[in-house]
Amino acid sequence: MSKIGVFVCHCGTNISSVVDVYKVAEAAAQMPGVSYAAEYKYMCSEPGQQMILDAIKEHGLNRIVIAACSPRMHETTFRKMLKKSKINEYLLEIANIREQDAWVHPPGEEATEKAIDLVRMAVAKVAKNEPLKSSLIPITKKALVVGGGIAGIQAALDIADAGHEVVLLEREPSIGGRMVMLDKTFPTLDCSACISTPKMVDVSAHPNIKLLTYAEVAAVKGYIGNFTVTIRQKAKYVNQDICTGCGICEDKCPKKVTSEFNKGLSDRPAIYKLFPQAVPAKPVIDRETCLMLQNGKCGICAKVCPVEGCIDYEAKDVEYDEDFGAVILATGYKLVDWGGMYDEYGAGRYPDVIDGLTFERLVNASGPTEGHIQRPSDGKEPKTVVIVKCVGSRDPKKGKPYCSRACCMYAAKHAHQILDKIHGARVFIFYIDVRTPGKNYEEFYDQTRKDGAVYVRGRVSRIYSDGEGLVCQGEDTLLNKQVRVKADLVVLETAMEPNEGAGELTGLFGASRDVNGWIQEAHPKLRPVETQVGGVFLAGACQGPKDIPDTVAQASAAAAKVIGLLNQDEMETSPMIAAIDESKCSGCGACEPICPYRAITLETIRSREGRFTNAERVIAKVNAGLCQGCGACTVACRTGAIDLLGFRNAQILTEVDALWQ
Amino acid sequence: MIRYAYFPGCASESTALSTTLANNFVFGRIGIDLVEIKDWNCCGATSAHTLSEPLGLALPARSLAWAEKNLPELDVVTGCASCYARLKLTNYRVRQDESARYMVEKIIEAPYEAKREVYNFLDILSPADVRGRIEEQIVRRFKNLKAACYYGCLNIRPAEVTGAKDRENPQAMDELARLTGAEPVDWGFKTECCGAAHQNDAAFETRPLARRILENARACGADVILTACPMCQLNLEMRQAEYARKRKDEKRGKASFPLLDVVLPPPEKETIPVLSITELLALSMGAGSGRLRLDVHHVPVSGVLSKGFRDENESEVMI
Amino acid sequence: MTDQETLQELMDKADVRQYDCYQCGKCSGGCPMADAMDLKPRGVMRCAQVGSLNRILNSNTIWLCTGCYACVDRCPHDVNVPALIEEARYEAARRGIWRRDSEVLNKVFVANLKMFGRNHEMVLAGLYNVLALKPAQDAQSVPHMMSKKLIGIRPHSIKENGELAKLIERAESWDKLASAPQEVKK
Repeated sequence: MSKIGVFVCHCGTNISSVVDVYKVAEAAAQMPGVSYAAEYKYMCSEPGQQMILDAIKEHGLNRIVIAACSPRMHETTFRKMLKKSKINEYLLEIANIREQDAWVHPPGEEATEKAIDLVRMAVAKVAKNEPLKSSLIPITKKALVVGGGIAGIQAALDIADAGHEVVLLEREPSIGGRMVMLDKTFPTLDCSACISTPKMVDVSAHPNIKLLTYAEVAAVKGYIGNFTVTIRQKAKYVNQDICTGCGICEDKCPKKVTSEFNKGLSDRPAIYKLFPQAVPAKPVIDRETCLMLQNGKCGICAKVCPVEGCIDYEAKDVEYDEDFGAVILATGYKLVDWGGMYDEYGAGRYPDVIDGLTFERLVNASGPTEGHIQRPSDGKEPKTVVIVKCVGSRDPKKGKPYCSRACCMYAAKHAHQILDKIHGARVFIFYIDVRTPGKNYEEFYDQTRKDGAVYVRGRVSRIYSDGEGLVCQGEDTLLNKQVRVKADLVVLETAMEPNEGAGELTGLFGASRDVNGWIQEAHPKLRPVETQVGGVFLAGACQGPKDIPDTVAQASAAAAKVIGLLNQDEMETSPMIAAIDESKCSGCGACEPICPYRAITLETIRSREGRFTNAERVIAKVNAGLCQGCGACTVACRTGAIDLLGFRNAQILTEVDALWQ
Repeated sequence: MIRYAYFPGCASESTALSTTLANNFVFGRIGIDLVEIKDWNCCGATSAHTLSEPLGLALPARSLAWAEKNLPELDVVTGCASCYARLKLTNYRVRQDESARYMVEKIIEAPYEAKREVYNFLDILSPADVRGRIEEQIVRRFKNLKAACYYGCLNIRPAEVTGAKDRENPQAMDELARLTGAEPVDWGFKTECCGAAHQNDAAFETRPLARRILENARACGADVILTACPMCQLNLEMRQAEYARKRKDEKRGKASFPLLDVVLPPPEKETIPVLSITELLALSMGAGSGRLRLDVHHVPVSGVLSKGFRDENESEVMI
Repeated sequence: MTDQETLQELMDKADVRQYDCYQCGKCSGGCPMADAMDLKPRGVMRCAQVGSLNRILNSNTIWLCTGCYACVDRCPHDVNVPALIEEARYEAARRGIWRRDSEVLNKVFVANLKMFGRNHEMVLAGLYNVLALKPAQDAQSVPHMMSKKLIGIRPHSIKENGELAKLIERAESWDKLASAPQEVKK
């Protein structure tokens, strides 16, 4: 015999200004199975909760309906509250009369009627609810951080400092990511390398961090607390244990290829470190370009190497499994290929039209020009520089619909650097809006204008050559006049997009991505560093365009989440997961491919079938750790063998029936 | 034999004499048969659609409908960018919008379903097999001739009507020019509007457009501008003396008498010859400048001819 | 109909939505005619946003736009400004708002077509220069073109020019034809 208590919340005036909460409580009291109904100003508050607990005792209630805000908001609050009573916390239903009623309807009778309907549905369902119990799963106390940029570095260091083991995995031969390519960082203008390379060294020296460079994730199995990740270590062909990093091989290597790190502004040998301060500070052989590995002719590096047996042309890629309790994805961003998007900017055929990252290498003290700004075409120092913002950003037709967030600031920084380094230089920055929402950002923009940068409001329409130099043509929208600026160098501040391979990697972990390919956070405001997959977190620009301060902050936040998880020995799982009625399951397997979390597997069981005592048959099994309770499988099941606990078909149908009573 | 229904356009009968001769020569040599649309009428460019959409669509539709009825298996081609734009747009609108088709059919009092495609000369000269035929017919290749290929805006845009992929730096004409030995220059005004549409009613306002195109071509090292439209051709060519005088005036800071242009033509280095791409192809296929009536050009083309031809199999050919 | 409604109708016909434009100026920046326009393409969109139909109709822009489509090709939001300009030009013509030279040329052009069916350069330019009071415009090229017989007084008229004149009249009165109830078909 159910004794249901209904508690109607005013939510200040959020609900009560639209819905007649007293009338709702009165109506609820008359509903079948309801033995008590009450209303209160703030149900979620301390006195509100106490009121419910008191009513449970006083009236011997055994099921609770709370008519208030969305369950996303306070369902967990009230479940926690029920733990203090003798009622199972799943014998609770929330009727959402705020978001689904008060906030979307005008005040009046109809809003109240709807609230009563919603409560009636919840009452009907709660009567059918059954007690559920969460189970405990053990946790592997080790974290995997994928991506060794500043986000991954920061997250790895934070987790390691908290005493947990971390594997930091990077596919390039060195960690450092984009940040080490930069020269100076806004708004403080401290040298990017000076603040990031010490962190890289910390990573390599930390006893709790195992650094894997030139490595990739090949496969992922398991679930929160219990991931098994197959790691593919690409052959480095240089024995990292005995290499001294002396660099003779790099000097003597006869093969030169374009340096990716210097954005094509210089060459590098086939046996190389990514950059002089690389961590680990030992070279690898790029097998795609090495003469020895490609056609067996050369071997110079092995001959000049002073350490016997250090260079090993026979090395092979190795794959192995390692267990982790939590994962942080920190795969970062890359700049869009603007040449493929903007024919009107020359589509890449003018060497002196470069992107911002190329400019960073050009202005970088450790870059190919040792920090002297020399334009790529002829090495001359440019006197007039045009900076174009929003190239590929805020352009749904040719580029990306979003704002890339960091460009306004690094455009200002680039202008500052040009004006600082080139005497008598002139800088024109074409912009649509100047966005400086960050601490000391607006002040930096002020300073850039003081330095002499001329801001021109307008998107550059086209860039062409007049035979001598480049002409940037656009409108000065504030003057309402078409302008042509003759430039020696044009820097395009191009949009960020998800890094190469980030999509496949996200897929391996079962996490999802948004329309632009960025990894989707579980909730944009309240769960910003979690993915929808339990135990898989995200940090930095893989979630969306970000500058360094935001990236580092998010990395530490993700690390805190991981530390919180790894600090537990075992964890509770949600009991609201799919359950399979083995007697009904035909083993058709329709549910298996539908599950987005790969929680369903097919298994062969032996059971008693009629007169066969040991018959073999196939049934579906749900992994409680992986299942997120989305319910997709229940719809796919032809025999109706799958039910979502807490949302059984019968429970939902009762709810629907109640609507028409 | 490749055949097309041919819409010559008004300029073909008057100002574009040498281009028309070159078209006949080139298409005859490479075996493309242009079947003239009988009693074709002016497409209305560029005034008709200024006044009203019905007139802008109905004028081209009359000629297109004749072709559809009488040459049902042939696609339509025209050598003028303005005509191309109007014909192509009419085709596009009639296909896309049932009410536009109803309107057009009512006005021209004939059925028209836009069953066939509309092409320009660049479209039909670019396929690999046609290029092969052109190559076979080329008997002499220019030496040191730097060409700025000017496509014009209407051969290329609007994209949803023309389907052109590269609208800023197209390559079709550059590749045809390369067949003649000319070296296309990289320049910035390939598809920039020359203002021909308003050369009468906004003469003062459109002059800078043509001037910028001419000056950029020269600055980028071109010896000749190549066109694919008689309107562009005329507009780029006709007023070069005026522009030269204006440049001089701007330098001196005072104006001189306009009609001086007639009696005192500007020095050659102040002008740039303009040829249609078919004229260049015809020259390279061996047509003489007399036969092509190159004397009708406003800007003497002697600069192009005096470049001479490459010494490939035999000694240098001079005209 | 209020100006507000007329403007909305013109935008609907042109498939242009004022909220798509964020005034970046890429259109005006690349417009070859921008220097001569009193309202550049971005300005046309701005007027559309604030509902200033009159400024659009009275601008020289609607008569100077060459229809090269460079603006819409480069627009990040694919705003078809030339289509809006075209609709605005029709509306201006309906209201009798004309730029004088354009009016003269267009009328001469259509008269020319009705007479010959094809464009007769001598007649077109000659009549225009006289009526627009610009006798010397391009006069310096005439001796060359006459002497080379590129232009002349010889008419090049089509056979069915009577038919064509009727066609043009039907097109010109289409708005009236179409609004007759029995004719409307969508």
